[in-house]
Amino acid sequence: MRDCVIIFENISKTYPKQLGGEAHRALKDVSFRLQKGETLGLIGPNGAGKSTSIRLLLDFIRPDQGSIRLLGEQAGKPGIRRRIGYLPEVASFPQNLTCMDMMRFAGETCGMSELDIADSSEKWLKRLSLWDARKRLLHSFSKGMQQRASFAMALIHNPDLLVLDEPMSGLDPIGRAEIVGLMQELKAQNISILFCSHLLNDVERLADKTLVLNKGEVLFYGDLSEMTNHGKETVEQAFLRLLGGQPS
Amino acid sequence: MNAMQRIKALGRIMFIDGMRRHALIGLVILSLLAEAFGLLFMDFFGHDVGRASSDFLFSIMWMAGLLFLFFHAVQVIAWDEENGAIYALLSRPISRAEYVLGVFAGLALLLFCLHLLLGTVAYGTLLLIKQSLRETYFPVFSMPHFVLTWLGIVVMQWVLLAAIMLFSGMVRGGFPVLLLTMAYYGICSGLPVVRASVSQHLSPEQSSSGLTYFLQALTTVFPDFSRLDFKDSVLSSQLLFSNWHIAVYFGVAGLYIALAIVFACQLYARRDLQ
Repeated sequence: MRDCVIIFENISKTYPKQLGGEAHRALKDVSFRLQKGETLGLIGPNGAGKSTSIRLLLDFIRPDQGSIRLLGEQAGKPGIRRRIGYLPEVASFPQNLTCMDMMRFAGETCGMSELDIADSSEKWLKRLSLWDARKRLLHSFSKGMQQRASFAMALIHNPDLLVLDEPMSGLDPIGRAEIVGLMQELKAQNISILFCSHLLNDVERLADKTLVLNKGEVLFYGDLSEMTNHGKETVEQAFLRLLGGQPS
Repeated sequence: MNAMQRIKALGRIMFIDGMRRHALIGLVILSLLAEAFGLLFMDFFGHDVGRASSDFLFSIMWMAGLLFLFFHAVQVIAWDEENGAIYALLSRPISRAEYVLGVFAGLALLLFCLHLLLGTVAYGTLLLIKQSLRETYFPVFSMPHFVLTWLGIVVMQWVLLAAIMLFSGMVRGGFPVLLLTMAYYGICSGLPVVRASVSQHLSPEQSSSGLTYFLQALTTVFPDFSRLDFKDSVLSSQLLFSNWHIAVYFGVAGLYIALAIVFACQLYARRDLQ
């Protein structure tokens, strides 16, 4: 309990009825925990509630019931985000800024000094092969470059917890391999990571634990080895088995 | 790290983003050309050249500010929400209130810079016109009154900007915010006319009727912008209002901005960013 970086307890969320639409239940009584240094892979078909869970963690939306604690504090406090790095599903920024403008903004809001921002920006932009493009406007970046820029922003303040929404989205195979390598490096540094992905191979390579969601309900939560029957199945086979009773 | 630094960081990126927008650069160029046109414009008037030119230049400043508000400011929060940039911004240790304050600060600074540039060119243009005419056509040009009039325009448009922040906290999307802002501006401009018309048609016994009080009460929500319009003083050596009145008008405008922003922060803090 003391080493839990995320406690997500009995969370339910229903999106209210919109004009011409219906209310939509996104999560029902979902609970999970992430221990310090662990990597949790969040998987599920489209509309399973993965992005909703992540938006709840970041306080972009609020739960109807249940409680969320991050790094020992209630999720709603902006101050905890100083220790969290977040990569959104679609990397998007105010369009007329350069990569360095956004890095400076990301560092300043975390209370970093000018010198630390410059050092950390150089480190991460070089690591993510964006250093030469640092003065280019972000709208001129390819999707993969925007995703990497977003990753650099998430890492500039050396967070204790990383929350990554589809980190491989929009990346070519080389970019994907680069991000997987980086995530493995961060994992080795004992940084806790929660990520959601459609790419089950990546989950298999990176996750210690998995949370399988379907239609807002938990189908499985536990060690990856437990999910795959101690290696008797691949993650894909286990995932399809779990979904078998409840087609999406 | 205090809240002011975070607001400053956000205000700065809003300012830089605005400065690099082609539409705003186009607006600045067009407004400067229109102000330069003021030099030709004066030839159309045989009398009161100073007043006509001054009104023309202040109208350009007012219109440029309105275009900035209606076509840029109303969309900023909506853009952030529609393209997902809001997630990149609010995933930093910034509260929703700081976000609203940061956006307001950035846009208010952009508006100030726009007016500073246009005001400087307008002042130069008026000086040039005055120097090129005989004193009979343009007898007085008061710099302090010009600055006061300029400041009045800036503050009036900051009031509108604060209302835009409030509407952006209330509804989603740039178009609904634009509609609300235009309706608000229309009511603010029309209400003094309605009040004047009603008071003309009421007898002295009816002057304290419910309708009069109702219209008076509406002014607290829809302020009378003409109170901050001092352009009649620019060509006069004497100010047409007392210092006390001017201080009260600016003070009320400041209070109005502060209240609108507080409400905007509270509304935005409650919103689900789906």
